[in-house]
Amino acid sequence: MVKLPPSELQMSATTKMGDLDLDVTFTAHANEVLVLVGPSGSGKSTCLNIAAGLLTPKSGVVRLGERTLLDTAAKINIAAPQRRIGLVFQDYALFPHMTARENVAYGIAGERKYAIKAAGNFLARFGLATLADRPVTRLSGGEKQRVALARAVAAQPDALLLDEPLAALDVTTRDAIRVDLKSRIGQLGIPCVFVTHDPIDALVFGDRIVAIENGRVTQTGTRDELAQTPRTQFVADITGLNLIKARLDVGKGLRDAVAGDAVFHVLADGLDGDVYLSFAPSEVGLSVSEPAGSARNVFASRVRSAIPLGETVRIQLDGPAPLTAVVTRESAETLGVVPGAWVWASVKATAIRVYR
Amino acid sequence: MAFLNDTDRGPQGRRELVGLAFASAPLILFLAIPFVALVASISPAQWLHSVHSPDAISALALTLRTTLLSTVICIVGGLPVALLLGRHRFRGREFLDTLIDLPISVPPVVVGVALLMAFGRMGLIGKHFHAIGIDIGFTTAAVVLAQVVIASPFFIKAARAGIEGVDPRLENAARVLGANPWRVFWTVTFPLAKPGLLAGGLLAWARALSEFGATMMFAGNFPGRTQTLPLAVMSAFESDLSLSVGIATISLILSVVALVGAKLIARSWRTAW
Repeated sequence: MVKLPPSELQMSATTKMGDLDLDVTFTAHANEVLVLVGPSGSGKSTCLNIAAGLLTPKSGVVRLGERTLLDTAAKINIAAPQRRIGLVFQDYALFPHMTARENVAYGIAGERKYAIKAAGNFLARFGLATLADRPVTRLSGGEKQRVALARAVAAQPDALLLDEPLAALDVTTRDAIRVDLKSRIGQLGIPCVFVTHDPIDALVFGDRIVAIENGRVTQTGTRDELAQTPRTQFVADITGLNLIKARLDVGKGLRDAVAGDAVFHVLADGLDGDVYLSFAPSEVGLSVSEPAGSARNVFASRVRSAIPLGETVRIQLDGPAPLTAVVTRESAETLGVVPGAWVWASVKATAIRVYR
Repeated sequence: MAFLNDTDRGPQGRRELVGLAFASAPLILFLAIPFVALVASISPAQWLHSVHSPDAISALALTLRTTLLSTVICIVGGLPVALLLGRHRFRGREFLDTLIDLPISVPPVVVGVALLMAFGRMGLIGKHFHAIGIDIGFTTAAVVLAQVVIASPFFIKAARAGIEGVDPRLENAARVLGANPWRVFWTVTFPLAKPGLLAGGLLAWARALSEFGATMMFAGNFPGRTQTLPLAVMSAFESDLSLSVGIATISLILSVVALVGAKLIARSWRTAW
């Protein structure tokens, strides 16, 4: 059989399921990990079920390279077993009555004897050779995840979908397993769609990232695009940036961007009208007395919460504009930052990124 | 799985246990005493004698033949029904569910009359069979049919619970790996639901063993042809009490075997994974 060059997975679908009103479109290119990130209940897993053929949307199209797997208008709907799409389930869905080897052999075509033998090779490749004949119920979380990945890959899918593959793991083991999983799926050479609600997973795995909120795609872009120019609060929260929607005056040089009660002085040549302002929390300076100097944006703000994170403290501020600041533990103590306290928050104009 | 026992719950749990034991004793004794009295009422010699009587032997043979056949029919016919109810949502599902409860709640005698009205010589369907020379009523086949109607709900309910206990995501995982519905069923659903299916089969067998009312009405009481153990107990009771008690004891032993089997399977199910 001639193996076609790796091809892309396209999907667009609209459907209603309970409270969820889904309308999404995305494309995962060959050799790429596309991350679907969003809050729980936003429709990410539903997208995977539609792509895999476990769920038929009201209307939609799924294409994998040359093959049309679903086209509701043309009444094409290839059944899940014929789609050749791998799916790593949340909590893995390993067959509990089988060994690791039998799980991996399940999706390998051909005679059972051959499949069992081939499964051994896959298990070795995934560092599971010594655990091959153990019942999967007696494996650790990380081992189960590798068996689930090996089982999906052994069926030689043309695309791989992963549904929160790290969510079931302990915090202590998650980091090591994340690195391992990243290198394994990076080598597959097929389009991968990775669903997560975890900002770190999104940034680690996503060559490109699609943010899905309430069943809609709210932003698509490379990791850097999303990290630097977020357009929704959820995307801004992924990297922890301050995001403010503002209206920019016409003009040049230092200009006013109005966001509700707050006015930001910004540098934004070539832009006017509705814009986004974003800046890192570390760019927000705090002081007890009103500051003077080059920091041009100063807001009297009230501390809503102060959460210590190791050597720094993350502070939520209520003021003309809601802001997040990060300061060292030392300065938080000197400033007396406790909920209810008043402080002056300042941001330099040059620290604010302005974009449409 | 570890359950709390009374000592884990401290002195209060222990007092509660003792109190409940006293409160439960009257009914428990009331349940146990008749069976003890039954077994105690004949000597081993009398028992052996009655077991060797031709009536007892033919009733036992007929009971084993008919109940094993009806249990197989319950399983083969009930499995698709259990899958339908356990795995699919459709119009009329509630209706079907109620229909399955009906033979459990309706007096078996009524089921027997209903069977006669349907499959008897004059019955809705039976009259057409009669026209081509086939009579079902008062034959061994009628015994089996009566047992199937009475016992199949027990299989369907247990099998359905077994099937509903299988995580549907496991079936989805199999489908995504290329398995057709047939393979999904035999490699995933069936092995994981097997304890429930086996327990259901044993419960259905236990119910078929004790079937009396519907059999009496629809199949009659003919030794060697339709006289199962419960009917033989009643017939012998009119002439020979010790024979009646002997046959009753055989019937009791069979039922205990079926119930203990179902219990053991249910236990292995809990500890399997």
